[in-house]
Amino acid sequence: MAKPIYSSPLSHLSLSPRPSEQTAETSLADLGRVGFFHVLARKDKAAETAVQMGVSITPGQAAHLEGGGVAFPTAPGEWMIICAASTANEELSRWRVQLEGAAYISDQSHGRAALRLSGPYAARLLAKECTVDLHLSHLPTGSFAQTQLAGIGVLIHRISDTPSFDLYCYSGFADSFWHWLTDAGAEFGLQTYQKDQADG
Amino acid sequence: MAGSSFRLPSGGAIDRSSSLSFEFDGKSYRGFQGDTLASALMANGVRLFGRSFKYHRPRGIIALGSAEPNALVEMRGDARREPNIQATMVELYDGLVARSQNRFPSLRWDVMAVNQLASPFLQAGFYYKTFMWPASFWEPVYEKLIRRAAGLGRAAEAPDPDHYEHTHAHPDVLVIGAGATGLSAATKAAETGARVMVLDEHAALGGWLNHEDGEIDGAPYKAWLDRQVSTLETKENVEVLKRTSALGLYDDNMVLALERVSDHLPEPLAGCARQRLWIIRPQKIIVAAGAIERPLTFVNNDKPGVMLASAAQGLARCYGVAPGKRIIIATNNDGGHRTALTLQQAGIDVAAVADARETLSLCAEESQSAGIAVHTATMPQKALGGVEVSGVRLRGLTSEKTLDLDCDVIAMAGGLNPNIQLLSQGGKRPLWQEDIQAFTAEPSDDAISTVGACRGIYNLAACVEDGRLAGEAAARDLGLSSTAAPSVRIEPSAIDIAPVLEAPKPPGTRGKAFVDFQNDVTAGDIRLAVQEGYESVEHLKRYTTLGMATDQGKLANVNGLAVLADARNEALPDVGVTRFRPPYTPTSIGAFAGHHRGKTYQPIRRTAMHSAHEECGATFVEAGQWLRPRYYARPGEDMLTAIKREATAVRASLGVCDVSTLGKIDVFGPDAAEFLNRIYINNWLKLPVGKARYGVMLREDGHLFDDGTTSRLSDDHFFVTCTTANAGRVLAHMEHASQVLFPELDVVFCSATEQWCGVALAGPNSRAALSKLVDGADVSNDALPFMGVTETTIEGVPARLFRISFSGELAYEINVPWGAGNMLWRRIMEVGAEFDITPYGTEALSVLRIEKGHIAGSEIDGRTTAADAGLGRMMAKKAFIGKAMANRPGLTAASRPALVGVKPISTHDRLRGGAHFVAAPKAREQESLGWVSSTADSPAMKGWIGLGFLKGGTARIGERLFATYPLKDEMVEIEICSPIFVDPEGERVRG
Repeated sequence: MAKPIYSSPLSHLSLSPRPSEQTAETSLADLGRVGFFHVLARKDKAAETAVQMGVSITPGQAAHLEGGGVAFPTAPGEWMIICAASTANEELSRWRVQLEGAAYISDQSHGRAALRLSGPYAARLLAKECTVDLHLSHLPTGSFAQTQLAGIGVLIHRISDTPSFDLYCYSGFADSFWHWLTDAGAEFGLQTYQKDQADG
Repeated sequence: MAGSSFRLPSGGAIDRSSSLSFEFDGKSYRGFQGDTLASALMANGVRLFGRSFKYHRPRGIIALGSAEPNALVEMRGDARREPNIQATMVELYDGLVARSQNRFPSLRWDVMAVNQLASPFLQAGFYYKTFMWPASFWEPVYEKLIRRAAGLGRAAEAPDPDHYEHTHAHPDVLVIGAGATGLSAATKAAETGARVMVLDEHAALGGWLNHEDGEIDGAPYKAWLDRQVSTLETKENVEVLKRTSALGLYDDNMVLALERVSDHLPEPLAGCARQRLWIIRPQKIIVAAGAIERPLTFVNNDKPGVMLASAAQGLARCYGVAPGKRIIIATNNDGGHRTALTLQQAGIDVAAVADARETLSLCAEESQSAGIAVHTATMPQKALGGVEVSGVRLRGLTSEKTLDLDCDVIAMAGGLNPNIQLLSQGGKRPLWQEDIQAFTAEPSDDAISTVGACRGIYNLAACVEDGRLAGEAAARDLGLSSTAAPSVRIEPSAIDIAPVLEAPKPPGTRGKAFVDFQNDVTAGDIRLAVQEGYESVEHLKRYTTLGMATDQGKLANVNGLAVLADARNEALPDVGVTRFRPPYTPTSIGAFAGHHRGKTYQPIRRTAMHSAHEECGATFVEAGQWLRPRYYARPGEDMLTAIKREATAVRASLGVCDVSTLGKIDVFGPDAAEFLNRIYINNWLKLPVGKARYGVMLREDGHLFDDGTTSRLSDDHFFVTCTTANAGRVLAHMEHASQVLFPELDVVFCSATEQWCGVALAGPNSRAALSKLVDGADVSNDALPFMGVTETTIEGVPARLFRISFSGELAYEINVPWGAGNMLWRRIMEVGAEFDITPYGTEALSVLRIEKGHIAGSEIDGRTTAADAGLGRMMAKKAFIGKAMANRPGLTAASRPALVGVKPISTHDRLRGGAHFVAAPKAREQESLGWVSSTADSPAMKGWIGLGFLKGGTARIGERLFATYPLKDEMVEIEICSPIFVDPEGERVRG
């Protein structure tokens, strides 16, 4: 059987890899494929699901999962689990077993595009459309927000103080989202890349 | 410089080493970096800036800054042309081009100035009175004439080349105004670590500190100002926004502010917005918006050369420009004397001060000691001169003696109005303060405070202290400071000021005394309105348009109220006030739109195979936010030819169509089948795993809502598809049903629309092609019969095969994960090559489904029921959403139009969607028997065909009627037929 060949929703942009030396610039990277699972707790089983996942439910706070991945409580009884593409299939199988009877999982690994916006102007850029306060005091590292940017539903995950944000949107919107980000970032000299090792 | 230069040898915050060239009305001038267009023109001796709105009277500048009502110019050219820009707010740049407006043929010789001769007829309510009849003349005649005569500038006719954007901000403390008070408040709040945003509409911060000399905390104004600004600008928790006006204060204390990012440049820098609309949601708002000086109301007070004392002082102090050669100051308070002394120190000849007060104040005595003549109890009766001021007639308020003096500038100091516009917008009623002769407004919300001149404190040291206390109080309320609250609040102290009143106008005095300069409203207009019964301040405002211009009556309102009070013989505070409206200053529409314009008005959704479609030459169509291939024209083909070729190829051999945009919903749970049973009109409990079924949903009111094919992938997992247009609505409908109507059901679901992309592979050769596409799965008719579903792989990628058909041909829908879309398309084109595979778009898809009689959005239009669409037999006995209402008599009446097919008698005739069925070919007054919903130029039927809804429905098959389309004056004879034109037995889909 041939090896599956998947492309990013942004593959048509033919982005170049990030140059080796790191600079302080504001940059945007296409993270390509990630593992992305929508966990839906069954009726009256949200608490049991949380226990099975090993997370406490803190709205707006992402939780690191034992064995890898991050869980975002996005709605009552619902989580998004995000993990590396390389382990996505194994993780999906593992969670399906672990949450059997408590929750269902819809694999959305292809349903979302993943981008990373980093650098000194990252928050300033997002603030052009983001009604959520992105200041460290309100959205500290490790927390997340769901909102609309330029009319596109986005999950914003702050991954460092510097600042750096991982952004997830539906795959069909990826091209439009990318263009808004690069337009809005033009004044900051936004650099664009394809995911590489530095992006983890 | 030439003899006409009014530039002072020194002074002003201008860079005299940086000379700039600019053009006004085609004539070239020079100015300096730091000038505004207004100051640079004044420096060149230009005092005539424009013509007034109604009377076309010559006008110069009155105020400096955003209160300016007169000096409106047209800026830039071509696509960047923009009318009604205040010359006082335009920062000079090299190469600037501006024109005066509302004049013809030239500013100095304007033919419409004859309006002044007709002015007795142009008074308040003129339009209402004159153009009443005949009513039919209003739109074609009167409105056009009025608009031509009273226009203000010309808008650009080409699309705006610049871009605009929004930015959201969430400061702890927002300080509006960066004068001494605001800077003091911001500094204090910032010291506590609060996130502070401070904004000011000017490029130079400091407000009044730039207008005169003095000391704060032992430091000269300038040094204090520089220290505050540099400290604030280096703090990480502070954002200082220059050139930014707070436009409005809205619910929940949201503030809109406009930053003119690039207006001081010839054009925006690469990547930069022209203007940025700030949407600010602060915890605390400190309004330090200062005060605006009032004009005085006397005859000809609008002549170029009559200006506010603060404007005259500002010209000299901020720009090093003499407002004129010989100044006379008219005042009713000490402010005029301070201006007199400041101007004199700058070397300008101040001939006299006319002071409305009866006794000499200390300040007035200073003027006298400086050699300036002071006339007490005196007001200007009239400005003298032709186009511009050449003198003034003063009149004693008690002696009634007049005195004519030569001058080229009359500087008015009518007292200060605290700038309460934002609070008034928020509904806070202004309170009259007799001892400062002005309105103030105290916020009722703890989150907002007003400070400094904005609440009537006119002593600078007190303002600075007031700002400090407000900054500290804000930090304390936010829990950032533990300082104790002061026991006493600083209160405004009384000032020595004469009451606001119109200058006496002895009987027989001719001429107009203006109250609202921008809308050309005179004191006489207000008195006339009162005579005619428009006594209420709200009626007065609308009848005379007082305060309704783009300046929102910044200069006009209090003077207008004074005249109204006098006319009604009441005290000023008793006549009431009107409310200010946002925006505070005129704002480009582009700033409100921001990023959302043109192609970026809303986001675009692309399917996984978008690039492949582009390579195949697709022309795209917008389907909601999606872009879908409409057709794939080959070189030389027009749209109709391409559509026919594509539809024909599907019926003859093999076609492929991207159907990724269909809404897809994963439904899980032991009660999933029961849930769907309640959502759809048909039965789902017994659908076996591995099978798909066509389903129909109703709205709660019983009308058709949506349809689609839903499959059972396992006992507790269904895969729902719905139409592209309704994907979001169906999911929301299901959420409502699950959470509100059926919370007892153990079911969960989520969108899977973009997890899976899909194509329809359709045509007699689709099975042969599919068998080569999949990795060895059996796709024979036995293994995968009609409505069968199976999971397999393609090139190792998980794939779902659905044997369903919208086209009426043998067909499969193939889903693979989104990321494999390009691979799937490429492989299909490879395996389909031997069958001459043809990609087809939404147009051919529509032709095929109409030929097959399948309904779509044109049939599910919100008016039709399941029975109307021929789906009545699907309605099962069980309970489902919409059932009760669907059984209402009106929705079950036999007379309702029902789905039929229709074709023209003559194959040359064209059918149009929206045409009505009528019995006879008469143009008018016939009963509509129904309507044509969808039409197609059908290759299979070799002519136009259509679907429609006809009273009597399929019982009328074979009847001849007419389809009328009055918009194109068409009347086509038609025959009613079965809605299924192709393969009525369904042999092809099962083949």
